[in-house]
Amino acid sequence: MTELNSTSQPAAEPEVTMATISKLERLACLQLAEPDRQALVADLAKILSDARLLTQLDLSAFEPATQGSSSGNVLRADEVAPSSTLEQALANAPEVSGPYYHVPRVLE
Amino acid sequence: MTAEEPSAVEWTRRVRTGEWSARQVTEHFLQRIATLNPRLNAFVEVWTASAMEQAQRVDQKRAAGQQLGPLAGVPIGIKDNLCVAGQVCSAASRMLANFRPTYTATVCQRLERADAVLMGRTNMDEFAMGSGTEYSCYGPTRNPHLAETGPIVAGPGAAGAAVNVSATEAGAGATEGYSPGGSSGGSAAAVAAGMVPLTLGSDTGGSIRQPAAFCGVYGLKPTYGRVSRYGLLAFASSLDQVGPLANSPEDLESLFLTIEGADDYDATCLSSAAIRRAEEALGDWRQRPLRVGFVAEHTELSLDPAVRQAWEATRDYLQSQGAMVTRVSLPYQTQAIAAYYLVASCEAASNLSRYDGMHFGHRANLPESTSLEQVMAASRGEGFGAEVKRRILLGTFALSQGYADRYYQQALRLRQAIRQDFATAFQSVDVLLGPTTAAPAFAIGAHRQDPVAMYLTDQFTVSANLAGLPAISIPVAASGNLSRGLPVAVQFHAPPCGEGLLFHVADLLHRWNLRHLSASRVEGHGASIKDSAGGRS
Repeated sequence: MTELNSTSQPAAEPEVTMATISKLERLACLQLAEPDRQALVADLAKILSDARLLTQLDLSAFEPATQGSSSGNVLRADEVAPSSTLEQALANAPEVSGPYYHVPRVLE
Repeated sequence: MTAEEPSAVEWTRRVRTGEWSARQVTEHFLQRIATLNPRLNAFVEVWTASAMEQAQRVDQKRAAGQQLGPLAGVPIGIKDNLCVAGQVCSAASRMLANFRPTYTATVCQRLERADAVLMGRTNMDEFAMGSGTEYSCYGPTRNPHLAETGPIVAGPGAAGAAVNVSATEAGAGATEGYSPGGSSGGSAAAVAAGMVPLTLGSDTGGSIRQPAAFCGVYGLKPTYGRVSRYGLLAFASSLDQVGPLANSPEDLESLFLTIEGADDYDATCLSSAAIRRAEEALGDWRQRPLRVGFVAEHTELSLDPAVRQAWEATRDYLQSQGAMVTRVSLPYQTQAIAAYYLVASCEAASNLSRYDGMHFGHRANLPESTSLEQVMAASRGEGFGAEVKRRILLGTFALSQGYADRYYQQALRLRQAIRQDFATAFQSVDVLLGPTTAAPAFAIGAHRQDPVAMYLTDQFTVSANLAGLPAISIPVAASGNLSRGLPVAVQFHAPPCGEGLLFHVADLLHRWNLRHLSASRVEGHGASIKDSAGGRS
């Protein structure tokens, strides 16, 4: 097997704590139950630990590949066409007020 | 995979010639679903009324002398993350338990135009995040193999009514037996059990191929951009592909040819000209011996003896048929699984931000005075299951300030390295041969406490998604008694738009499989639950 090059100075592993999980909950707008928080501290630490070898590889010769393929997007003609009706757009809303989505108060 | 089961191609021939009406075919398979689903939980909803209407339309077209589509009268199961207008599409999530899309996915439109009969929704891991079809709000699906002795599932589906999620979320479903794999486990189990001849799945990191391997059927992950994702609920947009599952290469190809091709409504779909150019770049492989690459790195990994035997027997068989087998190296493969879980989770964290309980999906029932942000956070907390939350948080972490370079960008660089590995290998071979999974199906619940162990079941499948390549899982009947009655499979990768090569290899191996199955039937091996379901064929 070809030996992969490693960077000479691997950075320290990030520590996953309850504070980390709380911050992620805020960033992801995702409220967790208390038992889930504790389980996720251990799960995330293990997952990140398993990615340790990846983070230590010297991959500076490769450009990041963000797309699913090297082909660019194929766009259709920019022409007006029928789209969803108001009734369709509101059909799955949890709550509606007349022709509008009803959402919790945004402004005080 | 059996020798005697009529294929989808055979069913449509019977409908065309009038031996069977489409209505009779549909009733036959509805009966099979009703018999088998209580034990397997492969379907989460059966669309009895609309399926019978579609079948009737096929019969009317035939009676009127109109031309029938290529899948006329063939019943098909649809993974629960593909939209059909007016039918619930939930991605097996409480978040979307009552979501009825107002439009139909391009692939499902193409099935309807081909006169296929859409039978219902198949079970899956929530939002396609999982490898066992255990993370589903409908409870787990059971693998049809070695399923005869398990308890009846107190679950949904067979009666044809929409599923009451609350009845299944407390753990109802298969709790004994073997996993069908995932995330398209319902689709794989349904085909393996003969509940339908064909199903659609989606494959983000192996979600068609791994369940196909566990259930002993054929599964194809097409080239990125070969099949439209319009109407597929997004998980990781640079990795997701829709693809077919079937009991034979001929059926697999028939379904693939029906759904593939450019689509104005998916900008990532390849144009017809781009597909033609990619196919021409493969050269005239039909006119020369097949060149098969045997991946050197795989030989050093820990494999179940049955998988290793199947893999080596496949190599030897192809060689005996004139193929040229050479060892190739894919050095960056060993870290593919870590790169995959980082890229997929980052994209999932972004894609799933749309589920906030405002425009559609679950909204938490909170006092009127609760702030918008609190309602969103609570709705997401209530709507998503544990694995989806885990991946959203992992993706959020890997994209956060201070860690994006270390994790996300590094994973993207490895993705590029893997692509170059493949490109180099395909300069000297037509296809790459390796295992689909390291072992046959695991017992349901075996990885419930260890998400990383579950992730590792995808170690051989994620590279195709990272590189955008087509890959197929092919069951191998030649593993003998080593597999303890569970199916094993091999996987082939091909260059972009090399699906034709993969069908060619699958066809070669299918004929080999049938010879083994005939022999094992004489010896009394190879029973699965469908053998006891009976039915007219």
